Order: sequence, then structure tokens, then C-alpha cells
Amino acid sequence: MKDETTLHIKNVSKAYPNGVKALQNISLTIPAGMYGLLGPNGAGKSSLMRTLATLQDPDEGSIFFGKIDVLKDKEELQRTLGYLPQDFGLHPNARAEELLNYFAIMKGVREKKSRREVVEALLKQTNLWDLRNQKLGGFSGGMRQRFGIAIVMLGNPKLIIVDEPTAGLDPAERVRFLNLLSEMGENSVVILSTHIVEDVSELCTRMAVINKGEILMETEPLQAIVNLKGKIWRKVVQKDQLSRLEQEHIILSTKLSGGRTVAHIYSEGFPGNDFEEVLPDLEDVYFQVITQHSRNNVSHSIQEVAK
Amino acid sequence: MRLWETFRYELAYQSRAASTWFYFLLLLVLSYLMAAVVFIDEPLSGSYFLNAPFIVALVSTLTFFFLGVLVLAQIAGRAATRDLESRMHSLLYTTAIPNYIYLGGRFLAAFALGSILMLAIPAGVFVAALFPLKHPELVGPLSAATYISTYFLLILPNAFFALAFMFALAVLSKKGILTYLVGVIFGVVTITSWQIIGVQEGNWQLATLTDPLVLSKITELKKVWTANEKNTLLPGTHTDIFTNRFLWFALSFGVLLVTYLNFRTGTISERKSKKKQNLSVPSTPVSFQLPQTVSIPQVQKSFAFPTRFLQAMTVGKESIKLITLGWGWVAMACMFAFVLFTGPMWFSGYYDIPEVPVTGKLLDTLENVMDHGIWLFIPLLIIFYAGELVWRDRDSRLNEIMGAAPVPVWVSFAGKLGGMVLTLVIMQLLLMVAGMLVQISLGYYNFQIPVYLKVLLGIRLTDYVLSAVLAFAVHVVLNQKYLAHLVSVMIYLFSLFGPEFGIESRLLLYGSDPGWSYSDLRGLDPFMEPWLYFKSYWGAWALLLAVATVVLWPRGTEQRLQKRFQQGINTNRFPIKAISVFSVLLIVILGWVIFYNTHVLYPKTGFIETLEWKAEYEKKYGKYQNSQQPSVIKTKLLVEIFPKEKAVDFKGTYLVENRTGSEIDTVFLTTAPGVTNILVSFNKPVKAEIVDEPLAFQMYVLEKPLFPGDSVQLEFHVRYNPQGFPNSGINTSVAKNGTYFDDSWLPVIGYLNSRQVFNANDRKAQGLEPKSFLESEVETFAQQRVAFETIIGTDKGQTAVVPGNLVKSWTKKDRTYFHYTSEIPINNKLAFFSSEYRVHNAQWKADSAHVVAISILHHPDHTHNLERMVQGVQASFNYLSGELGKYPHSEIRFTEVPGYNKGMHAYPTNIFYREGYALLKPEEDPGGIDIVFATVAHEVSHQWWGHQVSPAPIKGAALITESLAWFSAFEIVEQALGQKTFQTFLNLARRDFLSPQERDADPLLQASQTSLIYRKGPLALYALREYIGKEQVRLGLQNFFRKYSTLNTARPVPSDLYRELQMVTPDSMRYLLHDLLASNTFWELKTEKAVASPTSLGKWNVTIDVYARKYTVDKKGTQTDVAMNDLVQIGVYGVPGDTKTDKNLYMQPHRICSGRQRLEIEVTGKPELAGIDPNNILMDLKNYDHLTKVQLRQNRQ
Repeated sequence: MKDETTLHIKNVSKAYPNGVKALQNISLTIPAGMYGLLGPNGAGKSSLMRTLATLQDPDEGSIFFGKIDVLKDKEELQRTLGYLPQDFGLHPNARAEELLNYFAIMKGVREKKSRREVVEALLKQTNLWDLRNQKLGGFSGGMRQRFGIAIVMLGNPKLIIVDEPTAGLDPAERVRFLNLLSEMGENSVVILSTHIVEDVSELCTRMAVINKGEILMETEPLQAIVNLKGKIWRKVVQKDQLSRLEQEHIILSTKLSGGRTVAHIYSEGFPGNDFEEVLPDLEDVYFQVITQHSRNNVSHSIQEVAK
Repeated sequence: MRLWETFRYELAYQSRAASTWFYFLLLLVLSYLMAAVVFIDEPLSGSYFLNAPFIVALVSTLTFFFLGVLVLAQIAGRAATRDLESRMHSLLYTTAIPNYIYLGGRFLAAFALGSILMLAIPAGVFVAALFPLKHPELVGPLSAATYISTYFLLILPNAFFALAFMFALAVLSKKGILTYLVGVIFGVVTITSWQIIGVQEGNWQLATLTDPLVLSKITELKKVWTANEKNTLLPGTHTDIFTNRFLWFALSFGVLLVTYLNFRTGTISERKSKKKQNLSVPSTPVSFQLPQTVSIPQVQKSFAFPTRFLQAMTVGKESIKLITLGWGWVAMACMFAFVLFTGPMWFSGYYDIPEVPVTGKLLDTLENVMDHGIWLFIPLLIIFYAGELVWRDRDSRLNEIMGAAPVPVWVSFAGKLGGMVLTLVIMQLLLMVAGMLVQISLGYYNFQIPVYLKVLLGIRLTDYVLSAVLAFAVHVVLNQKYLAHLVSVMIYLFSLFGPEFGIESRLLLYGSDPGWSYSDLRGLDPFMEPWLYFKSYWGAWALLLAVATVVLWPRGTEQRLQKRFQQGINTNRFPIKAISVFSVLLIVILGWVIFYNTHVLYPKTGFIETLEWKAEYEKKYGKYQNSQQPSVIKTKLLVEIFPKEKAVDFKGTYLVENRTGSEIDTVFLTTAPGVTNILVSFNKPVKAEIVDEPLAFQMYVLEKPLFPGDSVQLEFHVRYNPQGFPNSGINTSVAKNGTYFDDSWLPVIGYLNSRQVFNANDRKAQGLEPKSFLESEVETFAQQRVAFETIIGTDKGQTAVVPGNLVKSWTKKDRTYFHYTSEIPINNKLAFFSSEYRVHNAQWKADSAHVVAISILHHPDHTHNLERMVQGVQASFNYLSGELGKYPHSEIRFTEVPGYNKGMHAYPTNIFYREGYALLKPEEDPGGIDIVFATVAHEVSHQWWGHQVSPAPIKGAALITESLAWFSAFEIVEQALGQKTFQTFLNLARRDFLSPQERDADPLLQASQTSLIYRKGPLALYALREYIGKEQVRLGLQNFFRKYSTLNTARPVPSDLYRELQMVTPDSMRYLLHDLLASNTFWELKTEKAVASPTSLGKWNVTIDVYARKYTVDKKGTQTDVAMNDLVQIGVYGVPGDTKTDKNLYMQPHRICSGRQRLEIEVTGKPELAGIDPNNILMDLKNYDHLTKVQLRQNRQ
């Protein structure tokens, strides 16, 4: 039973015609529960999501969801898939209830009565019941996103893929949205891609950091934070000091706070007097992984030049 | 940004698109093909150069019309709305670019690009002059002015107008696709100007103005200009075209100005926000609460067939909504309105005479693309909406969600196609309702719904579904909306006009068939079997296309064809392979069956006449053309018609007599191609020297020669029973009902002249000597009359008809036989009819000894004109037997044959008329033309002119048959229906003759052109009558008839008629006879001024200034002035409605010389109008300036 709801991704690679390597040899095993996929814009998150959602085929690799061979038997996966893309529209002239009913049919809910029930339940769940007769063209970003989650939840999917769902939502909507997601994560695989670290830290039991098509880290968020403990330091600096600081330390992030620049650096030992230790959070984990990786790449290429 | 930069950016942007240059190439190729192949017949038959300015202009404007407009639509659409579509508008519209720079730059760039692309048109036509393919002899001297003027005066302004309107609508509506609508509207306006205002109404002046593409003017010039003028004059410099350009430039600038004034960059966001306010959409509640836990019910999911069906239905419903709620309903409403408003006009197309609106005729016009360009619109709609449906999810950005939904592609494709088909069904039903409303509005209630359904939902819908499948496939394969639109349109036009491009085989033209037509008598009969084969074949193709569509459907995010193919093949559960194999198998089998039928079976058993075959016949046997041959004097036939089997069996004998002065030892027999000659035998010993079945020619040498006066009997047995069917042009001669054929399946004694190649260029191509036809090589032609006896059998229930009197008829089993004999020998022209007729009987009685039975064999429903026809026959008999002589038979028969066109034809004792005549309603004609009566009179007159006097078969012979029969018909109308109706006929004849056409024609004595022999001929005789008197003309015709209707004279030639007319014409008027018949003479008469002043005696003195000129036009179109000293009528008319004064105050012939002159006339009443030749008796091309208003001048006392 457990294995029925586990997603196995093995050695998946994908290159686009323009030469961009969107996915490079990605392997992940994702069990039931919320799973965060974190990465900067253009990291390959959407490519991975679309590949998992049967919308494009990888050049290499295999993907299994339980026993379903996702690449061969797409339809079998689609029957238990809920997918919300990053960018989507709705028929502007259709009404909410009408379109949700349409999708219910598309998802195989044939019986009229149960369809009506599930549509009603979902609209209530997403707080759209009062708007059921409104035209979708007039929906705000948040309402649209909630409608999207209603579509995703249709038909009790076992694999749920949501691509940057919280972009453009106001804080209240975002909370509500994430709550809905976490409810679904109780007995399904829910993959959430985002570039907002809080989304992951608040909800996900596991996460991966992806950049330039590669998985840089796969871990449990809490564990990753624990691992960083004692290695993150903070310093308030003037702007003109930043470049000097960069030469001496590994800067993870700089933030403006009350008009001053606060820099977080990564250092395994004590970096100096003017630094104070901070408790790491997931953001530090994220930046540490990204920075680490890009420095490695730089040193690689320097080594290559030196040869 | 400056104007120049906007312009440059836009131009550079659009020229980067590969499609732009694809269009350039397409235009180049199309215009080349149009000039070198499609329209090559124009210069060929009109004997001018293929690079003559006229044809360059014609071909260029037509290419522009067909393709140029479409190409411009894309450019204009892109230029006007690209920012909106790429969602860049919010960026651009908020920058500080002034409107005039933004719009101006865009428009000018579009126009510049359009100008460059349109260069391809004259360039392609020019290439045709360099590489003229088959006809290098047609290339004249090359002149740059030809192409430059065509480009700058015709094509470029056309492009400007089209672009201006397209750009305007696209900018104002913010919808790029609407440029295509403008394109279609331009097409409709052009066609309407050309076909309706020009061709039908004859108002070329107006058509020139209303036609934005000046096609109307150029097609008018085609008729008006002589070959010489076509070679030398530049159509673009014609003043009418300048006027047109001026008007449309003004309109275009106006439209652009309106666009500029109404363009507000903010419009979109403002409008949108207004909408939002109206909707008052609530936002997330401020006091945010966690949701009450609503449990989401676990649902039963099923993916079995019933679910798939429900899903397809749901997608279908959505598709119908998309089409009908978008612009589709506007299009449907437009078509509904089009039928409703123009439908009644379809039933008054023939000289404005109303017709009975039978369903068959309505359907003939409803959706017939060749009749009404509007029906081109439906396939365009199909293509457009196929694109919309394929792109639907992507356009609303639902594609990723839908792509991940568990709906197989075949289900959503089936839904979309099904939705479109259902929409088309709705549209067809709407059109049916519109058709029925038209019928109701014309007071007709016999709707014949089954016929409607067969044609609209059977035949047409099949075509539409095939189009739809193709359009889906093209959109899916190409995966580029606009390119796919264009390619689909090209394929559609190609399948429609393929034969024009040299692709004859219907196996290669998607969705095509050999053609069909409906008739009340015949139904759809001989067409449906081949139709079914072809449509099944194309259906199999459509199935294959559907599979390709399913495989390549752009599901998900993959765009590349190859990837989509792999994906489609790998992941579809749909039985792709099985269905592909099945459809390929079907294509091969049906294709082979059709090929076998059209290319093997039919050519072997039926016959397809080719030029090569005719040329071979002439080359091989032309040497026997003038050899002395015996004549048939008696024909006996036993004819069996099998309507259901579409077969005819002839057994017969010819009694052949040597009527020459010398002995004959060889008999030639030309048999018919496409029949089986089972037996040919003589009752005297003969030796068959040649039996050439392929060329259908046989030669027999008699053992003992045939001396003058001797005869021999020839027995033959011929069977017509073609197997298979042709690729196009299905022979309708024998059908289940409505059979009609002539004697062309029977053998003929001698070499057959009519089988030769007539067209001079065709002769050259076939390597035949140039030859002028119908100019007699033989001195005299003997009369050819046969005693005729026939027994004809047909299926029980049908009546079969051949010439002669019906002796008896009987029924044996399920066959009915009719026995006919001719009372006197008749012209050897036979026709055979068989149908389920109802017979209307009447008679004409001269005295008790001479009674003629009149019978009309007609379709049971076509009873409208029976009485009128009988009256026409009776009136004709009254006049003709009085003027010329007795009708030699005791029966005359009218038989109805299939076809809604207006045709009648006279055989001895039998006249057939098309259904079109039966459906005319002359009594409702506001113009008062009783065309049915008159045409009946004309055909009855042929029983005298044609069947009693039959002219030698030489050039001009039709003067004796057609012109005289029409002149007699005119006089019959005058005698029976009175002056007023008579005048309407004269006007009708004048209108036809004076409508624009070439004037470089033969004189009547050598004429063969329809407008001359049917229209000018009777008008000339009428003119003669008005100048030398009715009695004199009648006397001349009587003398002519009496001399040449006897059996022992040679057959007459036109000069014999001329001589007889000369005898009755006074010397002083012989010049007129010569001008009317022996030369191609025109008069130019004009009244410039008329002034009247009262005399002291209470009378009026009228001074009339007239201008006169007389000229001849030769075959090359050269005009030569002829000194004029002619008698011409001068008339003065009083105030109409003033009963005291006679309206016609003065009408006398005056001697009129060439040039200006003044006439003085004294009249008794107050004159109103005065002028020269007021009744338009002489042949004047501009006859509207003959009369002028008289200016009254008071005396000073």
C-alpha cells in the first residue's frame, strides 16, 4: 500500500531544442506527504513538474508512480493525477460551477448526482460557493488560484503537482491555500514547487533544492536546519564594505533592514568579532546550497583554466 | 520613438517571419500559373498576346482577388493587433508614443511590406511571358509600361484600399482575425459588383465604382475591347478606373482618419475595469477564517466507454457553444438572411420573369459555390473554427490542465469534430428553414422536405465533414494557426479549381466527386452511385487524417512534429495501427475500384472523346470526305430503352439510295464511339475493307456498284450500355426517369464532318492542316429526308417518344411499346424520350380536313404553363400556315426534359423543353414579356424554318433557321398578343444585342454567334420591315419558303434568302438591306438640340440638330466610316397624357447625311420630345441619346 503512493524518478534528463539542459540526470524518491521543490526562477522546476504531469517526455530516464510507468502509460497516471500549472487561464465566459462540472466529467466522474455533490463540496471548500454563478473572466488572481485547486482536488488524486501556486496571492489567501494543500497531503503525494522558502518550511516534510536542472540537495527541512546550526553568522555592514566582505567570506544573503544592510555569511568556524551567530532557518539552507554549488562550479572552471 | 523608427521596427519584425516570404513565393507561383496555364485560353481564343496589357491586368487583378487579399489580411492583422496578442499592449500603450506615430508607423510598414509582396503578382505574370510553356507563339513585344502600370495603377491601389479597411477594423475591434472578414467582404463586394450589378443588371457604370478591385471594369473591357485594343491599350489608364481609384482613395483615407480619431490607447484597460465594477466580484473576506472542514466526498471514477461518450458529448457541447456564441452565429444569421433576401431573386433570374420556386431549383442555387460566392464562406468558417477548436485550450491557457486530465485525445477530438458537425447540421437546417420561408414568401407550399434533407444533410454535409476533418488535420500537423488557415484555404480552393490547374483526376482532389445535379424529373439518379464511391474513398482518407490528427494532437507542451509523433504513437491507447491499416486498405481498394471504373471500364465501354481521337479520325479518313455516298431514304428502328439499367438497344435498317449522278461502289459508315456494334450487314454482297472500331469507321466495297437510283438495305444492331463511370461529366442521357438522347449512337453513312477538330489552335496542336469550316467545298447540298418508322419500348409506366405520329401502343409484361411513323419524309434528325409523363391534350383546327393534335408530355407537377403553351402553338399555326404553308403532320408534341435552365429545341414533330420553361410564371412578370409563348412560337416556327426549309450546313445557315424562326415568332406575338407585348420583345432583343460584347463580328449572312443570329437577325428583319413595309418582307419570305421547301431543290444558303429579300426591296432601300445583312454596319445617331417656337397659325416650328455617322467594323475591330445618305425616321412627340394633342405629332423618314445637320419641321401640337430614330430601329450602340426634350421659345410679340 505504501509503495502505491510513492513516486520514483530515476536518471531523468531533458534538453530543449535551443540547447538548454532543463533537467540533468535527476533521481528522486517521493513518498506520500508534502514535498517541496525549491529553486530560483529558471531552475528547471516547471520542466520537472511538466514531465511528471505527462505533458512532456524526458530524453532519458524513467518515472514510476507506484506500479504505473508514467512515461509509457500516461493515461493510467492521469486518472489519479491532479496538476495545477504555474500559468493557466480559464474560459472567461464560463461560470465557476459550469467549468468545474466540465472538469469533473473530464476526470471521469460520470454519475450526475455524485458530480453535483463533489462540485458543490469543492466550491465550498475553496470558498467559491457564493461565486459559483460568476463568470470566470471576472475572477481575481486569488480566486482563480483557488478555483485551480478545486480542479486539482477533483476526483481524489493520489499524485498532486502544483507549480508555484502561491505566486500573486495575498497573505491570507496564501495561508488558506497551503492549508488546503496540506490536507490533501495526508494520503497523497503532493509536490509543491516554489521559490518562496516559507511555503516549504511551513508545510513540507521533505524537500529538494534544484538549480540549473540539477538536484543540489534532497533532505528534510528540519534536518537541514539542524545541520547548519552554528555555521551562519550575521553582520551589519555599509554598502561600500560589501565587496570587501565578499572577498573574505561566503555571503549567503544580504537584506536591507531599517535602512542598513544585514549580511548572512556561512562559516564553519568563528569568522570574527564583528559577526554574531544566528539560528539558521530554511532560507539560509537554501542560499547555502545554491551558493555552495555555484562556488564549486566556479572553482571547477578555474581549475580547468589552470590546467 | 519617431515615426521612422516605428516603421522600421515593424517592417523588420514582419520581414523576419518566414511566412511572409512564403507568401511572396506563393503569389509568384500562382500568378505565373494563372497567366501561363489557367487563363491561357483568353489570349488563345481572343487572338491577342499573352503579355498584352489587358490580360496582364486581368490576371493580376484576379490573382490579387484570389490570394493577394488573404496575404494582406495577415499582414494587416499582425500590424494592428500584434501587441495585444503578445500582451505587450500594457507596456506599449502606456509609453508616450503619439497615436499618429504608433498607428502611422504600423500602417505604413504594413503597406510597405504589402507593396513588396504584391510585386510578386506582376512579376509572376512577367515570368509567364519569359517561359510561356505551351504557347511561345503568343508572346508579343515586351513592354515595361504594361507591368508598371498594372502594378502602380491596379494592384498597389487595391492593396492600399484593402489594407486600410483591414487595419481600421482590426485596430478598432482589437481582433486581428477580423482582417480576414474584411477580405471576405471585399470579395463579396467585388463579386456583387461584377456579377450582379454588371452582368445581371447591366449597370457597368455603377459596377465600376462599387468594385474596389476594379475586376468589373476589366471584365467589361474584355467584352468591349477588340483584340487590337487589348494588345495596345493600358487598362490602368482608363478614365473609369481613375474615377474608381479616386473614390476608393477618399473612402480609405476616411476610414483611416476615423480609426485614428477613435484609437485610444487606454481603451482596453478602461473597458475591462468598468466590466469588473459591474460584476462587483467580492474579494476574499477581510476577516479570514479557516474553512469549516467540508469533507470532500470520495467519488466513483469510471473510464469505460459510457464515460468516454459523455466526455465527447461534453466537449462537443462546449465546441458548439464556442462556435455559436462567437462570430459563428453572426455568420449563420448572415447566411440565413442572405437566403431570405436574395432567395426570391433566384426565381427571377431569367429576364426578371418570376418562376415557380420548386425545392429542386432552390437547392440548385442554395449552396452552389459557382452560383453564389457566399457559399465559399462555409468552408472558410469550417477552417476558421477548426483552428479555434484546436487552439481552444491553448488560447485560454487551459492546455496544461487539460493535457494532464485523463481524457484520451481521440475523445476530445471526437467531441470537437462532433460539435462542429452538429453546428453544421444546425446551420443546414437553418438554411432549409430559410429556403422554405422563401418558398412561402413566393406563395409556394410544396416543400419536398426529403429533397431538402438529401441535398443539405446528405450531400453537402458530407462535403463539409470532409472539409472539417482536413482542416483539423492541417491545424494539428502545422501547429501554426495562421499558416494552417492559409494552407487549408489553399487546399480547399485547389480541390475546387484543380481541373483549372491541370489536375483532372478526382482521385487527387480532396473531397471531390464527379458532380451532381438535381431535377424534378430525374431526381439525383445517375449521379449517386459514383458519388458514393468517391465519398467513401475520401471518407477513408478522412479516417486516415483523423488518425494522424489524434497521433499528432499537440497535447501537453511538446511542439515539435517529430516529438509529438513519438509521443502520440507511444502513449495512445487508441488502436492507431489497426485503423491506419484499415483506412489505407480502404483507400487502396476504393481508389482502385474508382480508377478501374473511370480509367479502364468506362473508357472501354462508354467513351471519352478526346482531341487526339478526333484528329486521328480526320487524319486517317479525312480523304473520304468528299467521296460520293448514297443517302438514307428510309429508316426503320426497334428501340428498347432500359432506364434502370441505363442501357439502350437499337435494331434497325436504313434503306440507302444512290441519288448522285454516278455509280457508287464503296459505302463508308461512321459508327458511334462508346456503343457496341453487334451487327452491320447489307442485303447485297459486300466486302468489309475497313472495320476500325477504335476510330469508329467502316468501309464496305459493293461487289456490284450501286447505279444512280439503285438502293441497298443496311441492317444494324447497336447497344449502348456503358459500364463504370467517368471521372467527371456523368452522362445523364439514360436515367431512371427523364431519359433524353439524340441519334448520335446510330451509325451514319459517310465520313462525319462534325467529328473534326474545329478550333484553329487545337488543329495546330494536333498537327492538322488549318481549315476554314462551313465554307462550302461542295456546290450544292441535296435535301436529306427520310421516311421514318419506329417501335420504341420502355419500362411500364413511362411514355417513350420519337418523331412521327403515334400509330399504336401496347404493353407486354412490364414493358410498354409505342409505334410511330412519319406521314411524310422528315429531316434526318432524331431524338428519343422516355419518362413517367402526364399528357395534356389539345388541338388546332384549320378546317375539318386539317386538324393537328397538340400534346404536352410533362412532369405531373409542372402544369403551370400548359394552357399558355397550347395558345402559343395555336397562334403559331394560325400565322405560319397562313403565311407560309400547311403543317405537314397531324401531331405536334412538347416533351419536358430535365434541367432548370431555359432551353427548348425543335425536332420534327417533337419539341423538347427544359423544366426551367415549365416553371416560368410569365403572367406575374412586371415587364410583360411572355417568353413562354414567344419561345413556343419560335420552336413551332422551326417546323417551317428548319424542318421544311433546311439550309445547307455552311456558315450563316443559322440565319435561315434561328433568325427567321425568331422573326416569325415576333410577328406571331404581334398578331396574337398585340403591339405592347411585341415592343417588349424588341426591347429584350435590343438589350441582349447591345449589351457589351465584341463588335468585330461577321455580317449576318456569315454569322454563327448567338447574339447575332438570335437577336440581331430578327432585329434586322424588323428594321427592314419598318422601312420597306411589312407586306414586302412577308412576300420575300413567302417566296423563299415556297422555293426551298420542296424536296427536289438543293438546300438553300443565306445568299438565297438575301436574293429573295432583294427582289422585294425597292432599289432606293437596297443599301439598308446590305447594311443590315451583308455587312457589319453600325449607326451613330444623336439628337443634340431641339427648339420649338409657335407660328402665327397656332402651330409649332421645331428645329432639330442631329448628328449622324455610319461605320463598319471588320474582324480585326477596325472601324471604317461609311458616307451616309440614309433615310432615318425623325419623330416629334407631344405632351404625354394630353388627350387633345396626338402624342405622336410627327414621324417621317428624312434623308440624313454624315455629320451635323439641322431639320425644320412644323407640327400642330405643343412638342415635348423630338429626335432621330426614336424607335431605335437602326443598329446604334448608344441609343439612349436619340430623343431630347424640346426647348420652347415664345415669340416676342
